[in-house]
Amino acid sequence: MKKIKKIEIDTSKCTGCRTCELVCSAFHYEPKYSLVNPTRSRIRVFFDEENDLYVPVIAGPYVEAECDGRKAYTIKGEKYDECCFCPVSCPSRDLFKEPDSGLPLKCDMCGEPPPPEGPLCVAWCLDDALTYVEREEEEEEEEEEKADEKESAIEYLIKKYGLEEIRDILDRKSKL
Amino acid sequence: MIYGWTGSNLEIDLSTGNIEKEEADTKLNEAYIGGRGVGTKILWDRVPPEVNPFSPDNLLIFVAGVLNGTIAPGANRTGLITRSPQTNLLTYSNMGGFWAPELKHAGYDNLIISGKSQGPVYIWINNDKVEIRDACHIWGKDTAETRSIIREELKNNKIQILCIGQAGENKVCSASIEHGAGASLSRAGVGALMGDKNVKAIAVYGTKDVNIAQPLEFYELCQKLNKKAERLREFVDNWSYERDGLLGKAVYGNLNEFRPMENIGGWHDAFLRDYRRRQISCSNCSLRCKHTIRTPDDEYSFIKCVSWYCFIACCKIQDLSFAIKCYTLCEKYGFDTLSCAHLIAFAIDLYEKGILTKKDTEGIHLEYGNADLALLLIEKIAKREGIGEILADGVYEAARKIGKGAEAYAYHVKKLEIPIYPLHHPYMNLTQSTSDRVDMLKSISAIPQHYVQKSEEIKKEYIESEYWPYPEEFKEYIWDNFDPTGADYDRITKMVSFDVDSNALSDLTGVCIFWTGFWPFNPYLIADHVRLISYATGMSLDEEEGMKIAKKASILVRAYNVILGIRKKDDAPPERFFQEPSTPPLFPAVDRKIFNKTIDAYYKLRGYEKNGIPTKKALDELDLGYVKEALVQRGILGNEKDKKNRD
Ligand code: SF4
Ligand code: SF4
Ligand code: SF4
Ligand code: SF4
Repeated sequence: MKKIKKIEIDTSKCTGCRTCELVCSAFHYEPKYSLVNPTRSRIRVFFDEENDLYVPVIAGPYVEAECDGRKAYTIKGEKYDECCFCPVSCPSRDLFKEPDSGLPLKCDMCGEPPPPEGPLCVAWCLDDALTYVEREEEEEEEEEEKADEKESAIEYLIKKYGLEEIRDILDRKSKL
Repeated sequence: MIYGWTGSNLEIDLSTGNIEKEEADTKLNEAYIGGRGVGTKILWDRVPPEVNPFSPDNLLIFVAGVLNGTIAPGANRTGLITRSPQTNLLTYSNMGGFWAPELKHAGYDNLIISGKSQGPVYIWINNDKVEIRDACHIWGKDTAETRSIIREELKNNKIQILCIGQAGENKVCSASIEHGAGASLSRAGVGALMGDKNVKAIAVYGTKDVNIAQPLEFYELCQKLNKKAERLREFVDNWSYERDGLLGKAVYGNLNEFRPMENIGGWHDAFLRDYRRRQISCSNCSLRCKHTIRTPDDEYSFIKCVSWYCFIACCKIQDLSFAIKCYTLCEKYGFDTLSCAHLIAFAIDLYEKGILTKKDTEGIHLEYGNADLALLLIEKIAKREGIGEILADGVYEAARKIGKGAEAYAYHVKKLEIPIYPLHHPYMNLTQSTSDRVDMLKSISAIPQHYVQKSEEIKKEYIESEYWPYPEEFKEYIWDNFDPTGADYDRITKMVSFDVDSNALSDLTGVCIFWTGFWPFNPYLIADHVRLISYATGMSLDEEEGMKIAKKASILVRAYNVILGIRKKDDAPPERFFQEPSTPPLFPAVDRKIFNKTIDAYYKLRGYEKNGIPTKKALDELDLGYVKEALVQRGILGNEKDKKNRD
């Protein structure tokens, strides 16, 4: 058995206030809360006000290639492509990447241990669009994500700047 | 490193196409905090009162508050400071939504637009990359179309947009600047100025940080305010026009009747049941006071506040679906709903009185209760067609053009259409009469009106609670109901003066006044508000200093408008309120003697002379020495003629 931590999203309750974005970005910075920048957030709200659609999307893993599927969704008569609701940090777009470095961002449930108020997006969403759930579940695939996250970040950098350059930087840093 | 502020302004000269990112003046930030304070000072320095609002030299100064773009709850207002084409005065509009926070994330505190473009353009601010782009293909489109075309064109659905519709393009004096989702910069014709400068829209997107000087303290205080907001959330959810009682009183037609709205509780229920789909919020606000509605034509639209009943009252049509149609149309054309509804009633009233005839209306018969006519008139005014051309400059200007005694039926304060609300209530009357820009909600608080009517028990609980927003000495003010004649003006003037400053403080920080001073149970007290400024920016500031800067900003506006000729005579409700009580006689007709005394007492509190001009002493106390000099130089202060008027 394994403890699964999840945030459940109820889009019908979302007011589109995007408090979750702001507080997530503030929390993940050192010193904590010293800046706010929604583009650094691991949760982003997709919205189409004209169609009354508000969908919080929580950042998932980094992928190396964009997918080919490009499923289209039709919601209340409007068409949306898959990217709108897709949680991954993918080369096709800037979403879920640090704006300056381009490093992929992924929800870490606000770390281990999480702050006393629990995952912050949930705590600050007063409209219960987000709920934190913990469940015991049979062990399934993946779930070595912690290592994965760092690894994928480095892979990303190598792809972007080349192995040599990244190695140089790492060498320099390790000498400090 | 700079905290709270971004430290930069963006300057765009449309005449030359010059775009400049400029370091903001940190001294100015410290002296005026931000938002409206800084914006007004920039206007004071750079737009002399002699400048015509429609001149290229008039500036559009879009300001972000110092707390915008942070996690301070409700800090999302966008402000606009400019000169109104309708009132000719310095005017200020503010709105909720997401625009100003985005501007800060793009790296700017303020956006200053000057000059005039040759052809239609829109401005695209993408962090440091700023472009003036051709807008010929969007000119003539409504505001919803404009937003979606621009989002498509820039391939970014996260950008925030301000735009004008046809009303702004045609320089209609009641044109607004729309942002979407029930947020707009409106009143006094600010949309016409964008049209005049040929700017269809301003789109902004940013990926930069807003830094916080004392992060932990800041976070904890914000958390506390959110917790405190629970009570207000509950209050707002359960609020109804009927229970409130006060807002249910309206002005029907062109001030033809003052009476309670019929069945307003029933409408509210019908609204919630049949039209509302969702409650939505501005950036970082949990009060979700706006509603998405499905319109009778099966589209989505947004509505907030009194907008939904001004057409019902002005057109005398008791039909919610009609009101929503009008509202949606106004939002598309980029049209101030309040002024628009008034203009329709004004035209019908003149027609019934024989002052306007079929000759003026191109054969159209004007009458109350006709929904199609109302919708037609909205279109005609927005497009300046036929009778719309006469009405498009507001009731004051229209009456002047029409003549034949029409002036007597043009109800305005300082040339701006008044709220559809009887101004008999002494608190309302004073706020609206003395405001630089008459409106419902930007300068007032519902507390004085709300609480005086409550039971002893509720009052007691309130003044002892952590929500009590006023100074200690005000506690005794809410024990008795207000005297309907306004004879107890002593407490009213004090409360108004406090509310004006407290709301002005919000204009500096960009926090919505629903959090700071409008409702009972406002989470922010002045102390929290100034503490947040300190924590965000690192500057030290106490309550007294914070309120002083807030007052300074509002006195600066006053002084500018005084140069433009505003005096005591302009701080008054339309004549009709002195003659007619509200029916059923909740309030007697305003007593001129009492009203004059009220104004005098209020002026004293604000530091004005009897004629409404700020005194030298008051200006000195507020560090406004340069204003004093300007007023003396122009012969307004220390001038013999004025002195005579004073005595
Ligand atoms: S905080 Fe909650 S309501 Fe607000 S945008 Fe996020 S999920 Fe939606
Ligand atoms: S963002 Fe779009 S392209 Fe990339 S993985 Fe998701 S759906 Fe595929
Ligand atoms: S749980 Fe924490 S890390 Fe994940 S999206 Fe919410 S705030 Fe961000
Ligand atoms: S209270 Fe209403 S208007 Fe004010 S910020 Fe919140 S949602 Fe916007």
